[in-house]
Amino acid sequence: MSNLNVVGKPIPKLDAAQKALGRAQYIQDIKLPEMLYGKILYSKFAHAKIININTSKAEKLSGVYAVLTGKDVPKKMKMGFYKDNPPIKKDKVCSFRDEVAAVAALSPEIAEKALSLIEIEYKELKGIFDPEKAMEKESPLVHEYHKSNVLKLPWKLHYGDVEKAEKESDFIVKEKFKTTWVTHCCLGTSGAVALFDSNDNLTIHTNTQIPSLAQKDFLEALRSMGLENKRVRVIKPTIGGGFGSKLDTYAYEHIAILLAHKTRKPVKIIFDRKEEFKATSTRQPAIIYIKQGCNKDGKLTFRDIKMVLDNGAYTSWGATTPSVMMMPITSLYRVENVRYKAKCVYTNNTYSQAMRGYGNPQATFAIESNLDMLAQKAGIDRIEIRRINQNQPGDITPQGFKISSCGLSKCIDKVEKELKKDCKKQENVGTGIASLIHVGGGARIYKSDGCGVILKMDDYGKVDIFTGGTDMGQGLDNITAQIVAEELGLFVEDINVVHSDTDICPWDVGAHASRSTFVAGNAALGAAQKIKEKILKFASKILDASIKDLILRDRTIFVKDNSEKNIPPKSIAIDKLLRKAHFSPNGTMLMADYFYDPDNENMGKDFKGNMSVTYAFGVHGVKLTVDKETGKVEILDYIAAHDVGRAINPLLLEGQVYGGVVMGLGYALTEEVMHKNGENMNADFRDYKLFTAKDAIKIKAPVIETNDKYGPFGAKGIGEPGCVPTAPAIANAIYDAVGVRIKDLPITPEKVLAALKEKSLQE
Amino acid sequence: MRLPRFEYLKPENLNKLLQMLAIYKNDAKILAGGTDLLVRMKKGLLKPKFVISLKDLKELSYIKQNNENIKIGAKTCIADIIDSNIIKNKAYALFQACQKIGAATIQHYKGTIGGNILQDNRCIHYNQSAFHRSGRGACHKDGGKICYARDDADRCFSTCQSDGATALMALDAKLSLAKKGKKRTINLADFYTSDGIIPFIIEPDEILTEIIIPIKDGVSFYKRLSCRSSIDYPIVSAGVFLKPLQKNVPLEKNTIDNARIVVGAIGRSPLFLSSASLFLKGKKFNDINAFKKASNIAMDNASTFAVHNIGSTTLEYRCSMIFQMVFQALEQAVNLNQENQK
Ligand SMILES: Cc1cc2nc3c(=O)[nH]c(=O)nc-3n(C[C@H](O)[C@H](O)[C@H](O)COP(=O)(O)OP(=O)(O)OC[C@H]3O[C@@H](n4cnc5c(N)ncnc54)[C@H](O)[C@@H]3O)c2cc1C
Ligand code: SF4
Repeated sequence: MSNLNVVGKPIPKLDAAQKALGRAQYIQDIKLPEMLYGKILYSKFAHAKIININTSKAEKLSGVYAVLTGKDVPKKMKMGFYKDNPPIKKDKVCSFRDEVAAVAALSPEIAEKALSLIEIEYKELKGIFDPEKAMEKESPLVHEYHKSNVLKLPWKLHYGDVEKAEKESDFIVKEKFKTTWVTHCCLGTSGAVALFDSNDNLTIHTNTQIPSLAQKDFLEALRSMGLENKRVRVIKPTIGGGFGSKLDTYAYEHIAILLAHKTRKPVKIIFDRKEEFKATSTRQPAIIYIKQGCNKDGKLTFRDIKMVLDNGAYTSWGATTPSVMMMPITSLYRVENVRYKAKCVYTNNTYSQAMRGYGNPQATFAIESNLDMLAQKAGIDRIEIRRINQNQPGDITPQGFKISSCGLSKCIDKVEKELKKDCKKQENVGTGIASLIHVGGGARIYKSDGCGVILKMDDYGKVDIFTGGTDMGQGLDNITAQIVAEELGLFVEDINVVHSDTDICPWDVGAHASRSTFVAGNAALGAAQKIKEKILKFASKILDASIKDLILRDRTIFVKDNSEKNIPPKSIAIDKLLRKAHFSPNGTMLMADYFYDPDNENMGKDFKGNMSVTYAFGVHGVKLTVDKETGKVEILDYIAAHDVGRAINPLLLEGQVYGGVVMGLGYALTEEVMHKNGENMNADFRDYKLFTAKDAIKIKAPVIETNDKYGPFGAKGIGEPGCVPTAPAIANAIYDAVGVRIKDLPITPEKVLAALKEKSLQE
Repeated sequence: MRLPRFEYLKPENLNKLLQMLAIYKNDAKILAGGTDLLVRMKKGLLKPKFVISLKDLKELSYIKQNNENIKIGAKTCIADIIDSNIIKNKAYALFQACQKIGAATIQHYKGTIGGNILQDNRCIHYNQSAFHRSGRGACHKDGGKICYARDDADRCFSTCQSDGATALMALDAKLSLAKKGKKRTINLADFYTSDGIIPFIIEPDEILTEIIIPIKDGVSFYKRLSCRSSIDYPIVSAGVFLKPLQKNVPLEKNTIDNARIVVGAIGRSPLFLSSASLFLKGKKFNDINAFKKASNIAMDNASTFAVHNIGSTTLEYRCSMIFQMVFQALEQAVNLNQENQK
């Protein structure tokens, strides 16, 4: 595999210039003839009965085409994983972001004005904002019909015998950790444009990471409207960041559909930044109770975790994050006895959703912080305890994960070497490390984990490839093009990747679970191989050579040169070959399709099963200093070593790691969506403390290549891992620096200072 | 969020501008860089009928120096102040403060020093969208009678978060104001009201023309704490100025003749702390304990003005950091100067 020409090259993102020139078409840029503008009115209370809505003034406003309230929403139109969320609420609001009315008008200004004319009478109800309190008997119910605030979800597993293992452990550390709301902060805000044709078929332009599943949701929506047997076409514009936020369908999309149907015109709904902060979903806050034990030699004996997750008022896919949290809980390091139980609890807060890592950052924060504490208790070096328990290739973990390739050990070595380079211990300076495991070869959450690809070649040697996979900035366009170019001996310029339209592109489960490079990459490879076979067959006839002697390189098919040196090898240019194939009697054009569904398993009743074909590993190491007077943390050095199988494009790979780490740093140190009794208080970038360019640090991102046997050219996923172990690495380094352990994210200067004060009082 | 409608005016000289102000008065707002004004307008916090832009006005952008004073035109942009050797050499605290304002884009592109001083006071309960505010009773600053930041407040305690003003007050700056047919000069320290609703003593038809910084022998320093390295208002800040008693005596052997300690981002205005400042008179420049004591006095006095109106920290933390900022500013002012003398 050493003589690759395109795979492994740092080729800049194919649409980078388009974006830099402002020519990429985002949802904001889409404008259709006769288009109307939709706007949504939100609740003024966290929890209230809607007594009366009067829309007559709004309806009378000139330029208003439609006003919708909960009454206008079909009964069966419900969103989310638990189908508990109608796009407009009728009798009751359960959070500040509840939609209570919507309008379509000639301009955004008129729509806004119309919203201000809608009169709503509420009767405020007592709200509940703390998930643990919401679990108590006498707490107010968010949804009366549900009879309890605890969702009926099955998140519970027990492998081995935790109680026995606990008794036999030499050291045990029990702790409570907490994480809070953070949000994706996509540069491009949410939006959709919906329109119906004269036969009531729907076309929707929308920012989505899941075109095929969104299509299914919208078909369901149409059925709820009484529109049976219709078509839905989902067109995905250029997306300005996803990070999990577009892994579901949302009220604004359903409202755009309803408004478009009512007005018979295209309707566009675009969020402004404030709305983006207030009305899109966050990462789930978690309260984590963890117990881990080890024996005298540092071998982990058991891991026991209980979690309470703040679901918010409605249920999106986010409520299934415990199924991914199970991965680090059962399979990060070798530990035979594990128990886990999670409760998702309704509150009157904003509802949570998927976000990069899908629960893994929360679980890893608890596991890796707690592991450092355990190492200290057992008197074992922090790095050593990780080596003792590290996963190895060939392992099958208690949950049934088959570890094919595993670079954890190499990652640990690499990070250790970097951190120890300058080992003079300075005052208030400390180092910390934390590891991660993540799915790296698909994730069978849905019934199919597949991706389809259609490939065609033209008379000029160019390729159009229609993939089900989604590029949302992460670089699937490059990965697809590089894989296909490599396989067919072409250059990336020869490959046009189309990934944006369900009318054209085959099915795919979506851009999530760090699966696109692996699954969509394998699908593209499969299609390219099919085409290659055809090319070779044809070329062998023309060049009068055996197929095994043919090589595709530099847009040409060569016959391997076995003869004398001076004679150039026999060859034919690929475009010429294609034309020959096309323009001869009984001509043919080269096309291929391929559907790749990885050989992974759905989890069974006991949650066992090889969820992913392969797993990604990584270790982060950080060196930082703590200002003991203010509590401020300053990062001095950061190393993120990742086992990626193979870097198909090292430039984009580094981008994913850098971005992941900076997102992780915000999670660790500064970011928090502030809620005051359910109301978002920091709905802008000034008060939501996302890292700025000035805060970003230099990150070393060594790539560990383990060449996975299932990955396309050996690659595994890297989309999410970069933000997974950041927070515990930092928490561990702070402890190393000044001896205080912060168990509650974000680790603000204030928390550090308070802990330092408490420590000095105890001494 | 969109800007409400307004009429846009662009006078080409000061005279025309003053005439416009004399006519439109409260209906008009001055637009310098707009980095404060436009944000507030988008949030629906104010809806001026006329926006008078300083864009074409050449007269108010300058940094000049004579024997006694540095004079800065109100429209001078923040980046020019950062680049000015006059400011770096004679008003170091202002140089430092300007470096911290917003981000490079705000400093270079638009933000002015006049706008920086005259930016409105802020409060997390008030600087919200119109929809957010409409969901609850109006607070004092919004025309109501309650305060969300302090239960018993009879007035608005919104905070002045101007970095520039805090440094300038430490440097004992004065402001020149003009209206049609009239000019006046006022000490910056006397420029503030005691209510966060309208924090400045400026008339609707008046414009800030110039900032005057007296050139004094002494050292100054500005220190601030914030969550991030850019695009972040201060949680607390401190500007200090220390004047030595003896000429030509190195600082470590010198005595403090006069001190000015100012704390920012805590009160309705930058807080000049007279007892803390006075305490340092006669103390040695190397008297760390005196610095600590003064910082403690500053903290005690300034804390009383603070209310819980920023989101990122608790009131307790914010107040406890007053000590740190003042102390570090004092200490580093002396250190920096000793290094420069070497
Ligand atoms: C993201 C962001 C971050 C920021 N961070 C900081 C920070 O860290 N520290 C800080 O101090 N500020 C900060 N600011 C506030 C502001 O940008 C700066 O203070 C800037 O210097 C204001 O200058 P301007 O010219 O843009 O003011 P403008 O918005 O033009 O004006 C502000 C106010 O002053 C009035 N005004 C302006 N000039 C005159 C004049 N000559 N006479 C009379 N009235 C006048 C205007 O009518 C308006 O009410 C930030 C702003 C933003 C948007
Ligand atoms: S301090 Fe009180 S009155 Fe002033 S803006 Fe804040 S909440 Fe309103």
